Amino acid sequence: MYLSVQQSIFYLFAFVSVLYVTHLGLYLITANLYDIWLYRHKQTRKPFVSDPLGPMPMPPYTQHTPGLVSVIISAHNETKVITRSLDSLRKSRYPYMEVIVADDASQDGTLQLVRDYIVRHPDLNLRVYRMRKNIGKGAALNCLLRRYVHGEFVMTLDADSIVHPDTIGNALSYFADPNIAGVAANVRIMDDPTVLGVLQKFEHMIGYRSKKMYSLLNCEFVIGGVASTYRMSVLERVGYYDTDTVTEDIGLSIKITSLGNRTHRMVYAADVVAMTEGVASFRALVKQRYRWKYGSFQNIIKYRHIILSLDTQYSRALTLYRLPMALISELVLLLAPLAWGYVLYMTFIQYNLTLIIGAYATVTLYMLITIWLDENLRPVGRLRLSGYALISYFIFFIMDFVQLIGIIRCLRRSHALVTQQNTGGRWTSPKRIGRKVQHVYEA
Amino acid sequence: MFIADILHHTAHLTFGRNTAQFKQLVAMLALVSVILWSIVLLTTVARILLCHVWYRRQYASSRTNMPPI
Repeated sequence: MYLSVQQSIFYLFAFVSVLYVTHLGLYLITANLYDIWLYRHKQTRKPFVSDPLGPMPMPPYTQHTPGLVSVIISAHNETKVITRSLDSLRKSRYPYMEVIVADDASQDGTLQLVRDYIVRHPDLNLRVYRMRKNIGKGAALNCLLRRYVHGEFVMTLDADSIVHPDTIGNALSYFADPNIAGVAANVRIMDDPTVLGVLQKFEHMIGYRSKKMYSLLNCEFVIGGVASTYRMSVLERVGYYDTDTVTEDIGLSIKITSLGNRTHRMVYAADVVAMTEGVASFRALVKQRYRWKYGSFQNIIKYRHIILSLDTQYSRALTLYRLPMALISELVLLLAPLAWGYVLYMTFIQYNLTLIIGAYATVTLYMLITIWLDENLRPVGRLRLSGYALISYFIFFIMDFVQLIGIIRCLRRSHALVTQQNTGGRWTSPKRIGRKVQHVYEA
Repeated sequence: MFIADILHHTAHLTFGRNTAQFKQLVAMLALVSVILWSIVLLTTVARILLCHVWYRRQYASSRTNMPPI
Protein backbone atom coordinates (compact mmCIF):
# COMPACT_ATOMS: atom_id res chain seq x y z
CA MET A 1 0.00 0.00 0.00
CA TYR A 2 1.31 3.42 -0.91
CA LEU A 3 1.99 5.74 2.00
CA SER A 4 2.37 9.47 1.53
CA VAL A 5 5.28 11.34 3.10
CA GLN A 6 2.89 12.80 5.67
CA GLN A 7 1.56 9.35 6.60
CA SER A 8 5.08 7.91 6.80
CA ILE A 9 6.16 10.66 9.16
CA PHE A 10 3.11 10.11 11.32
CA TYR A 11 3.63 6.33 11.61
CA LEU A 12 7.34 6.83 12.27
CA PHE A 13 6.54 9.30 15.02
CA ALA A 14 3.88 6.99 16.48
CA PHE A 15 6.30 4.05 16.47
CA VAL A 16 9.06 6.03 18.16
CA SER A 17 6.71 7.54 20.75
CA VAL A 18 5.28 4.16 21.77
CA LEU A 19 8.77 2.63 21.79
CA TYR A 20 10.17 5.30 24.08
CA VAL A 21 7.21 5.44 26.45
CA THR A 22 7.27 1.64 26.77
CA HIS A 23 11.02 1.65 27.34
CA LEU A 24 10.85 4.27 30.06
CA GLY A 25 8.20 2.21 31.83
CA LEU A 26 10.13 -1.05 31.46
CA TYR A 27 13.34 0.56 32.75
CA LEU A 28 11.56 1.62 35.94
CA ILE A 29 9.72 -1.68 36.42
CA THR A 30 12.79 -3.87 35.89
CA ALA A 31 14.97 -1.55 37.99
CA ASN A 32 12.60 -2.17 40.90
CA LEU A 33 12.80 -5.93 40.33
CA TYR A 34 16.60 -5.67 40.13
CA ASP A 35 16.72 -3.76 43.41
CA ILE A 36 14.70 -6.49 45.12
CA TRP A 37 17.10 -9.09 43.69
CA LEU A 38 20.14 -7.05 44.80
CA TYR A 39 18.95 -6.72 48.38
CA ARG A 40 18.34 -10.46 48.46
CA HIS A 41 21.77 -11.08 46.92
CA LYS A 42 23.41 -8.88 49.56
CA GLN A 43 21.77 -10.90 52.30
CA THR A 44 23.03 -14.22 51.02
CA ARG A 45 26.36 -13.53 49.34
CA LYS A 46 29.76 -14.45 50.66
CA PRO A 47 32.05 -11.46 51.31
CA PHE A 48 34.95 -12.87 49.26
CA VAL A 49 34.49 -15.67 46.78
CA SER A 50 38.01 -16.96 46.42
CA ASP A 51 40.05 -19.04 48.75
CA PRO A 52 37.28 -20.24 51.02
CA LEU A 53 39.61 -22.73 52.68
CA GLY A 54 42.16 -20.49 54.28
CA PRO A 55 43.92 -17.14 54.48
CA MET A 56 44.78 -15.20 51.36
CA PRO A 57 48.32 -15.60 50.03
CA MET A 58 50.94 -12.96 50.68
CA PRO A 59 53.57 -11.55 48.30
CA PRO A 60 55.46 -12.51 46.22
CA TYR A 61 52.50 -13.41 44.05
CA THR A 62 52.44 -15.77 41.12
CA GLN A 63 50.17 -15.52 38.09
CA HIS A 64 46.44 -16.08 38.73
CA THR A 65 46.89 -15.85 42.47
CA PRO A 66 43.47 -16.83 43.85
CA GLY A 67 41.55 -13.97 45.40
CA LEU A 68 44.10 -11.37 44.36
CA VAL A 69 42.68 -8.37 42.52
CA SER A 70 44.97 -6.46 40.17
CA VAL A 71 43.80 -2.88 39.79
CA ILE A 72 45.25 -1.45 36.59
CA ILE A 73 45.32 2.26 35.75
CA SER A 74 46.45 3.80 32.50
CA ALA A 75 47.58 7.39 32.96
CA HIS A 76 48.63 10.09 30.56
CA ASN A 77 49.32 13.51 32.11
CA GLU A 78 47.19 12.93 35.21
CA THR A 79 49.04 14.82 37.96
CA LYS A 80 45.88 16.68 38.97
CA VAL A 81 43.88 13.56 39.76
CA ILE A 82 45.91 10.40 40.13
CA THR A 83 46.75 10.74 43.83
CA ARG A 84 43.03 11.12 44.58
CA SER A 85 42.43 7.82 42.79
CA LEU A 86 45.28 6.08 44.64
CA ASP A 87 44.02 7.49 47.96
CA SER A 88 40.63 5.91 47.38
CA LEU A 89 42.27 2.54 46.63
CA ARG A 90 44.33 2.80 49.80
CA LYS A 91 41.08 3.08 51.78
CA SER A 92 39.66 -0.08 50.19
CA ARG A 93 38.50 -2.67 52.70
CA TYR A 94 39.54 -5.50 50.39
CA PRO A 95 43.13 -6.21 51.40
CA TYR A 96 44.34 -8.59 48.70
CA MET A 97 45.13 -6.35 45.79
CA GLU A 98 47.95 -4.97 43.74
CA VAL A 99 47.72 -1.61 42.03
CA ILE A 100 49.65 -1.17 38.79
CA VAL A 101 49.90 2.13 36.92
CA ALA A 102 50.91 2.36 33.27
CA ASP A 103 52.36 5.80 32.69
CA ASP A 104 51.77 6.30 28.99
CA ALA A 105 54.69 8.67 28.32
CA SER A 106 53.30 11.51 30.44
CA GLN A 107 55.09 14.82 30.22
CA ASP A 108 53.69 16.46 33.34
CA GLY A 109 55.46 14.47 36.06
CA THR A 110 52.83 11.76 36.59
CA LEU A 111 55.57 9.12 36.86
CA GLN A 112 57.44 11.03 39.56
CA LEU A 113 54.21 11.68 41.45
CA VAL A 114 53.34 7.97 41.53
CA ARG A 115 56.90 7.05 42.55
CA ASP A 116 56.67 9.55 45.41
CA TYR A 117 53.34 8.01 46.37
CA ILE A 118 54.94 4.55 46.51
CA VAL A 119 57.60 5.87 48.91
CA ARG A 120 55.10 7.76 51.07
CA HIS A 121 52.56 4.90 51.23
CA PRO A 122 54.35 1.56 51.41
CA ASP A 123 51.13 0.00 52.76
CA LEU A 124 49.62 0.13 49.26
CA ASN A 125 50.93 -2.62 46.98
CA LEU A 126 51.60 -0.17 44.13
CA ARG A 127 53.89 -0.31 41.11
CA VAL A 128 54.32 1.96 38.11
CA TYR A 129 55.67 1.20 34.64
CA ARG A 130 56.47 3.83 32.07
CA MET A 131 55.83 3.35 28.36
CA ARG A 132 58.65 4.67 26.17
CA LYS A 133 56.20 6.51 23.91
CA ASN A 134 52.49 7.31 23.92
CA ILE A 135 51.03 4.03 22.69
CA GLY A 136 47.36 4.55 23.60
CA LYS A 137 45.24 3.48 26.56
CA GLY A 138 44.38 0.00 25.31
CA ALA A 139 47.97 -0.84 24.38
CA ALA A 140 49.29 0.45 27.71
CA LEU A 141 46.76 -1.68 29.62
CA ASN A 142 47.64 -4.67 27.43
CA CYS A 143 51.28 -4.22 28.39
CA LEU A 144 50.35 -4.47 32.07
CA LEU A 145 48.03 -7.41 31.51
CA ARG A 146 50.57 -9.41 29.51
CA ARG A 147 53.59 -8.82 31.72
CA TYR A 148 52.84 -7.58 35.22
CA VAL A 149 49.41 -8.68 36.43
CA HIS A 150 49.26 -11.49 39.01
CA GLY A 151 45.61 -11.45 40.10
CA GLU A 152 42.81 -13.91 39.49
CA PHE A 153 40.67 -10.83 38.88
CA VAL A 154 41.44 -7.56 37.15
CA MET A 155 39.77 -4.23 37.88
CA THR A 156 40.35 -1.37 35.45
CA LEU A 157 40.24 2.17 36.75
CA ASP A 158 40.65 5.57 35.14
CA ALA A 159 43.12 7.95 36.75
CA ASP A 160 40.36 10.52 37.37
CA SER A 161 38.08 8.03 39.13
CA ILE A 162 37.71 6.96 42.74
CA VAL A 163 36.20 3.90 44.36
CA HIS A 164 34.25 3.30 47.54
CA PRO A 165 36.01 1.21 50.24
CA ASP A 166 33.63 -1.69 49.55
CA THR A 167 33.78 -1.53 45.76
CA ILE A 168 36.32 -4.30 45.20
CA GLY A 169 34.85 -6.68 47.78
CA ASN A 170 31.35 -6.16 46.41
CA ALA A 171 32.53 -6.73 42.84
CA LEU A 172 34.13 -10.04 43.75
CA SER A 173 30.93 -11.33 45.34
CA TYR A 174 29.38 -11.58 41.85
CA PHE A 175 32.07 -13.98 40.64
CA ALA A 176 30.67 -16.73 42.87
CA ASP A 177 28.68 -17.56 39.71
CA PRO A 178 31.20 -19.28 37.39
CA ASN A 179 29.41 -17.90 34.33
CA ILE A 180 30.11 -14.29 35.26
CA ALA A 181 32.95 -12.96 33.12
CA GLY A 182 32.73 -9.26 33.91
CA VAL A 183 31.09 -6.90 36.37
CA ALA A 184 30.18 -3.33 35.43
CA ALA A 185 30.34 -0.75 38.18
CA ASN A 186 27.80 1.88 39.14
CA VAL A 187 29.70 4.94 37.93
CA ARG A 188 28.58 8.30 39.20
CA ILE A 189 29.56 11.79 38.17
CA MET A 190 31.22 13.95 40.80
CA ASP A 191 29.36 17.00 42.02
CA ASP A 192 29.37 19.92 39.63
CA PRO A 193 26.70 22.63 40.09
CA THR A 194 26.83 23.75 36.43
CA VAL A 195 24.16 22.85 33.87
CA LEU A 196 26.67 20.57 32.15
CA GLY A 197 27.52 18.88 35.44
CA VAL A 198 23.86 18.26 36.35
CA LEU A 199 23.15 17.05 32.81
CA GLN A 200 25.96 14.49 32.95
CA LYS A 201 24.97 13.38 36.44
CA PHE A 202 21.35 12.82 35.36
CA GLU A 203 22.41 11.08 32.19
CA HIS A 204 24.66 8.70 34.12
CA MET A 205 21.91 7.99 36.66
CA ILE A 206 19.44 7.15 33.91
CA GLY A 207 21.97 5.20 31.87
CA TYR A 208 23.09 3.06 34.77
CA ARG A 209 19.49 2.52 35.88
CA SER A 210 18.72 1.09 32.44
CA LYS A 211 21.63 -1.32 32.90
CA LYS A 212 19.58 -2.98 35.63
CA MET A 213 17.12 -4.15 32.98
CA TYR A 214 19.87 -5.31 30.64
CA SER A 215 21.55 -7.17 33.48
CA LEU A 216 18.34 -8.95 34.48
CA LEU A 217 17.63 -9.93 30.87
CA ASN A 218 21.28 -10.97 30.33
CA CYS A 219 21.79 -8.69 27.36
CA GLU A 220 24.41 -6.28 28.67
CA PHE A 221 27.38 -5.93 26.35
CA VAL A 222 28.83 -2.52 27.24
CA ILE A 223 31.12 -2.32 30.25
CA GLY A 224 32.91 0.96 30.73
CA GLY A 225 36.49 1.51 31.77
CA VAL A 226 35.79 2.72 35.30
CA ALA A 227 35.96 0.08 38.05
CA SER A 228 35.00 -2.78 35.75
CA THR A 229 36.14 -6.17 36.98
CA TYR A 230 37.01 -9.20 34.86
CA ARG A 231 38.32 -12.70 35.35
CA MET A 232 41.92 -12.75 34.23
CA SER A 233 41.43 -16.16 32.58
CA VAL A 234 38.74 -14.64 30.34
CA LEU A 235 40.97 -11.70 29.40
CA GLU A 236 43.71 -14.13 28.42
CA ARG A 237 41.26 -16.12 26.34
CA VAL A 238 40.14 -13.10 24.30
CA GLY A 239 43.64 -11.71 23.92
CA TYR A 240 43.09 -8.59 26.06
CA TYR A 241 42.10 -5.20 24.60
CA ASP A 242 41.70 -4.49 20.91
CA THR A 243 43.88 -1.56 19.93
CA ASP A 244 42.26 -0.81 16.59
CA THR A 245 39.15 0.93 17.97
CA VAL A 246 38.73 4.23 19.79
CA THR A 247 36.80 2.77 22.74
CA GLU A 248 38.90 -0.10 24.03
CA ASP A 249 36.56 -0.76 26.99
CA ILE A 250 33.47 -1.34 24.83
CA GLY A 251 35.64 -3.39 22.48
CA LEU A 252 36.76 -5.66 25.30
CA SER A 253 33.30 -6.23 26.71
CA ILE A 254 31.71 -7.01 23.35
CA LYS A 255 34.65 -9.28 22.52
CA ILE A 256 34.00 -11.24 25.70
CA THR A 257 30.29 -11.28 24.90
CA SER A 258 31.10 -12.73 21.47
CA LEU A 259 32.37 -15.86 23.27
CA GLY A 260 28.72 -16.48 24.16
CA ASN A 261 26.90 -14.47 26.77
CA ARG A 262 25.26 -17.49 28.39
CA THR A 263 28.61 -18.79 29.64
CA HIS A 264 30.41 -15.42 29.70
CA ARG A 265 27.90 -13.09 31.31
CA MET A 266 28.36 -9.40 31.85
CA VAL A 267 26.43 -8.08 34.82
CA TYR A 268 25.79 -4.66 36.23
CA ALA A 269 26.40 -4.27 39.96
CA ALA A 270 24.63 -1.30 41.53
CA ASP A 271 26.56 -1.74 44.77
CA VAL A 272 29.96 -1.55 43.07
CA VAL A 273 30.23 2.21 43.32
CA ALA A 274 32.80 4.47 41.68
CA MET A 275 32.90 8.16 40.90
CA THR A 276 34.44 9.94 37.98
CA GLU A 277 34.80 13.50 36.74
CA GLY A 278 32.43 14.78 34.11
CA VAL A 279 33.87 16.81 31.26
CA ALA A 280 34.15 20.51 31.96
CA SER A 281 33.12 22.15 28.70
CA PHE A 282 30.55 21.77 25.95
CA ARG A 283 33.29 21.25 23.37
CA ALA A 284 34.83 18.45 25.45
CA LEU A 285 31.40 16.84 25.87
CA VAL A 286 30.83 16.86 22.09
CA LYS A 287 34.27 15.34 21.54
CA GLN A 288 33.74 12.67 24.21
CA ARG A 289 30.31 11.62 22.93
CA TYR A 290 31.50 11.49 19.36
CA ARG A 291 34.35 9.22 20.43
CA TRP A 292 31.98 6.95 22.37
CA LYS A 293 29.53 6.79 19.49
CA TYR A 294 32.21 6.17 16.92
CA GLY A 295 33.72 3.43 19.09
CA SER A 296 30.32 1.81 19.64
CA PHE A 297 29.68 1.74 15.89
CA GLN A 298 33.15 0.34 15.25
CA ASN A 299 32.56 -2.49 17.68
CA ILE A 300 29.01 -3.25 16.59
CA ILE A 301 30.19 -3.45 12.97
CA LYS A 302 33.13 -5.60 14.01
CA TYR A 303 30.90 -8.05 15.88
CA ARG A 304 27.86 -7.70 13.61
CA HIS A 305 27.51 -11.49 13.36
CA ILE A 306 25.92 -11.46 16.83
CA ILE A 307 23.03 -9.22 15.74
CA LEU A 308 19.91 -11.32 15.06
CA SER A 309 21.97 -14.48 15.56
CA LEU A 310 20.01 -17.57 16.61
CA ASP A 311 23.10 -19.28 17.99
CA THR A 312 22.21 -20.84 21.33
CA GLN A 313 25.36 -19.51 23.02
CA TYR A 314 23.79 -16.03 22.95
CA SER A 315 20.68 -14.97 24.80
CA ARG A 316 17.79 -13.95 22.56
CA ALA A 317 17.49 -10.72 24.53
CA LEU A 318 20.97 -9.78 23.32
CA THR A 319 20.71 -10.78 19.67
CA LEU A 320 17.08 -9.94 18.93
CA TYR A 321 16.53 -6.99 21.24
CA ARG A 322 19.54 -5.21 22.75
CA LEU A 323 21.89 -5.05 19.78
CA PRO A 324 19.22 -4.19 17.17
CA MET A 325 17.84 -1.58 19.58
CA ALA A 326 21.31 -0.05 19.94
CA LEU A 327 21.27 0.57 16.19
CA ILE A 328 17.62 1.65 16.00
CA SER A 329 18.08 4.22 18.75
CA GLU A 330 20.88 5.84 16.76
CA LEU A 331 18.65 6.08 13.70
CA VAL A 332 15.85 7.49 15.82
CA LEU A 333 18.23 10.14 17.05
CA LEU A 334 18.75 11.27 13.48
CA LEU A 335 14.99 11.70 13.11
CA ALA A 336 14.58 13.65 16.35
CA PRO A 337 14.41 17.09 14.66
CA LEU A 338 11.64 15.81 12.37
CA ALA A 339 9.72 14.37 15.32
CA TRP A 340 9.96 17.63 17.23
CA GLY A 341 8.89 19.58 14.18
CA TYR A 342 5.81 17.36 13.99
CA VAL A 343 4.94 17.75 17.67
CA LEU A 344 5.37 21.53 17.66
CA TYR A 345 3.41 21.97 14.45
CA MET A 346 0.45 19.80 15.52
CA THR A 347 0.44 21.44 18.95
CA PHE A 348 0.44 24.86 17.31
CA ILE A 349 -2.34 24.26 14.79
CA GLN A 350 -4.57 22.49 17.30
CA TYR A 351 -3.83 24.67 20.33
CA ASN A 352 -3.47 21.35 22.18
CA LEU A 353 -0.59 21.11 24.65
CA THR A 354 -1.41 17.56 25.84
CA LEU A 355 1.55 15.86 24.18
CA ILE A 356 4.13 18.39 25.31
CA ILE A 357 2.81 18.50 28.88
CA GLY A 358 2.62 14.69 28.91
CA ALA A 359 6.21 14.39 27.72
CA TYR A 360 7.39 16.90 30.33
CA ALA A 361 5.47 15.10 33.11
CA THR A 362 6.79 11.68 32.04
CA VAL A 363 10.44 12.74 31.93
CA THR A 364 10.22 14.70 35.19
CA LEU A 365 8.47 11.87 37.04
CA TYR A 366 10.95 9.37 35.62
CA MET A 367 13.83 11.50 36.87
CA LEU A 368 12.25 12.00 40.31
CA ILE A 369 11.70 8.25 40.74
CA THR A 370 15.29 7.61 39.64
CA ILE A 371 16.55 10.09 42.23
CA TRP A 372 14.38 8.91 45.10
CA LEU A 373 15.03 5.21 44.52
CA ASP A 374 18.77 5.68 44.08
CA GLU A 375 20.70 3.70 46.69
CA ASN A 376 23.68 6.00 46.92
CA LEU A 377 22.27 9.46 47.50
CA ARG A 378 21.98 11.23 50.79
CA PRO A 379 18.72 13.04 51.72
CA VAL A 380 20.17 16.52 51.08
CA GLY A 381 21.47 15.41 47.71
CA ARG A 382 18.09 13.91 46.83
CA LEU A 383 16.33 17.17 47.61
CA ARG A 384 18.81 19.24 45.63
CA LEU A 385 18.64 16.95 42.59
CA SER A 386 14.83 16.90 42.82
CA GLY A 387 14.91 20.65 42.23
CA TYR A 388 17.06 20.17 39.17
CA ALA A 389 14.76 17.36 38.00
CA LEU A 390 12.05 19.94 37.30
CA ILE A 391 14.16 21.33 34.47
CA SER A 392 15.69 18.00 33.40
CA TYR A 393 13.28 17.79 30.45
CA PHE A 394 14.78 20.95 28.99
CA ILE A 395 18.44 20.25 29.71
CA PHE A 396 18.18 16.81 28.10
CA PHE A 397 17.72 18.64 24.80
CA ILE A 398 21.35 19.71 25.15
CA MET A 399 22.39 16.06 25.29
CA ASP A 400 20.15 15.21 22.31
CA PHE A 401 21.88 17.97 20.39
CA VAL A 402 25.32 16.67 21.40
CA GLN A 403 24.37 13.13 20.39
CA LEU A 404 23.00 14.38 17.09
CA ILE A 405 26.30 16.13 16.33
CA GLY A 406 28.09 12.89 17.24
CA ILE A 407 26.05 10.72 14.91
CA ILE A 408 26.33 13.19 12.04
CA ARG A 409 30.12 13.22 12.44
CA CYS A 410 30.08 9.41 12.50
CA LEU A 411 28.08 9.35 9.26
CA ARG A 412 30.58 11.70 7.67
CA ARG A 413 33.26 9.13 8.48
CA SER A 414 31.08 6.15 7.60
CA HIS A 415 33.52 4.90 4.97
CA ALA A 416 36.29 4.56 7.57
CA LEU A 417 33.77 2.92 9.92
CA VAL A 418 32.62 0.30 7.44
CA THR A 419 36.11 -0.46 6.13
CA GLN A 420 37.28 -0.68 9.76
CA GLN A 421 40.32 1.49 9.32
CA ASN A 422 42.66 1.38 12.28
CA THR A 423 41.96 4.28 14.62
CA GLY A 424 43.77 3.21 17.78
CA GLY A 425 47.06 4.68 18.92
CA ARG A 426 47.96 7.85 20.78
CA TRP A 427 45.61 9.40 23.27
CA THR A 428 45.25 12.51 25.36
CA SER A 429 43.23 12.84 28.54
CA PRO A 430 40.49 15.48 28.65
CA LYS A 431 41.14 18.53 30.80
CA ARG A 432 40.92 17.46 34.45
CA ILE A 433 39.43 19.54 37.22
CA GLY A 434 40.70 17.60 40.24
CA ARG A 435 37.66 18.06 42.49
CA LYS A 436 37.87 17.21 46.15
CA VAL A 437 35.43 14.49 47.13
CA GLN A 438 34.58 13.79 50.75
CA HIS A 439 32.53 10.67 50.27
CA VAL A 440 31.69 8.38 47.37
CA TYR A 441 28.08 8.09 48.49
CA GLU A 442 26.97 11.63 47.83
CA ALA A 443 24.84 13.59 45.44
CA MET B 1 6.02 37.42 8.21
CA PHE B 2 7.43 36.08 4.97
CA ILE B 3 9.62 33.51 6.78
CA ALA B 4 6.70 32.49 9.00
CA ASP B 5 4.58 31.85 5.91
CA ILE B 6 7.27 29.70 4.34
CA LEU B 7 7.69 27.75 7.58
CA HIS B 8 3.96 27.24 7.92
CA HIS B 9 3.61 26.14 4.30
CA THR B 10 6.57 23.73 4.53
CA ALA B 11 5.31 22.28 7.80
CA HIS B 12 1.85 21.83 6.31
CA LEU B 13 3.26 20.01 3.31
CA THR B 14 5.50 17.83 5.50
CA PHE B 15 3.20 16.94 8.36
CA GLY B 16 -0.33 17.45 6.97
CA ARG B 17 -3.34 18.44 9.03
CA ASN B 18 -4.79 15.12 10.08
CA THR B 19 -5.88 16.19 13.54
CA ALA B 20 -8.06 13.14 14.20
CA GLN B 21 -5.10 10.87 13.66
CA PHE B 22 -2.98 13.00 16.00
CA LYS B 23 -5.65 12.89 18.70
CA GLN B 24 -5.85 9.09 18.38
CA LEU B 25 -2.11 8.86 18.87
CA VAL B 26 -2.21 11.08 21.96
CA ALA B 27 -5.02 8.96 23.40
CA MET B 28 -3.09 5.76 22.76
CA LEU B 29 0.07 7.14 24.35
CA ALA B 30 -1.97 8.21 27.36
CA LEU B 31 -3.40 4.70 27.70
CA VAL B 32 0.01 3.03 27.41
CA SER B 33 1.41 5.51 29.95
CA VAL B 34 -1.36 4.83 32.46
CA ILE B 35 -0.86 1.05 32.20
CA LEU B 36 2.91 1.30 32.56
CA TRP B 37 2.80 3.82 35.41
CA SER B 38 0.40 1.54 37.28
CA ILE B 39 2.87 -1.34 37.03
CA VAL B 40 5.72 1.01 38.01
CA LEU B 41 3.75 2.04 41.08
CA LEU B 42 3.05 -1.58 42.03
CA THR B 43 6.68 -2.66 41.67
CA THR B 44 7.85 0.45 43.55
CA VAL B 45 5.60 -0.41 46.49
CA ALA B 46 6.85 -4.02 46.36
CA ARG B 47 10.46 -2.80 46.27
CA ILE B 48 10.00 -0.48 49.23
CA LEU B 49 8.20 -3.14 51.26
CA LEU B 50 10.67 -5.90 50.48
CA CYS B 51 13.92 -3.93 50.60
CA HIS B 52 13.25 -1.51 53.39
CA VAL B 53 10.96 -3.54 55.62
CA TRP B 54 11.26 -7.28 55.03
CA TYR B 55 14.97 -7.67 54.22
CA ARG B 56 16.06 -5.11 56.83
CA ARG B 57 14.05 -6.99 59.44
CA GLN B 58 15.71 -10.22 58.34
CA TYR B 59 19.10 -8.52 58.56
CA ALA B 60 18.36 -7.21 62.04
CA SER B 61 17.50 -10.73 63.19
CA SER B 62 20.73 -12.22 61.79
CA ARG B 63 23.63 -9.83 62.33
CA THR B 64 26.18 -12.00 60.53
CA ASN B 65 25.23 -10.76 57.07
CA MET B 66 26.57 -7.69 55.31
CA PRO B 67 24.50 -4.54 55.88
CA PRO B 68 22.47 -3.07 53.02
CA ILE B 69 23.81 0.12 51.48
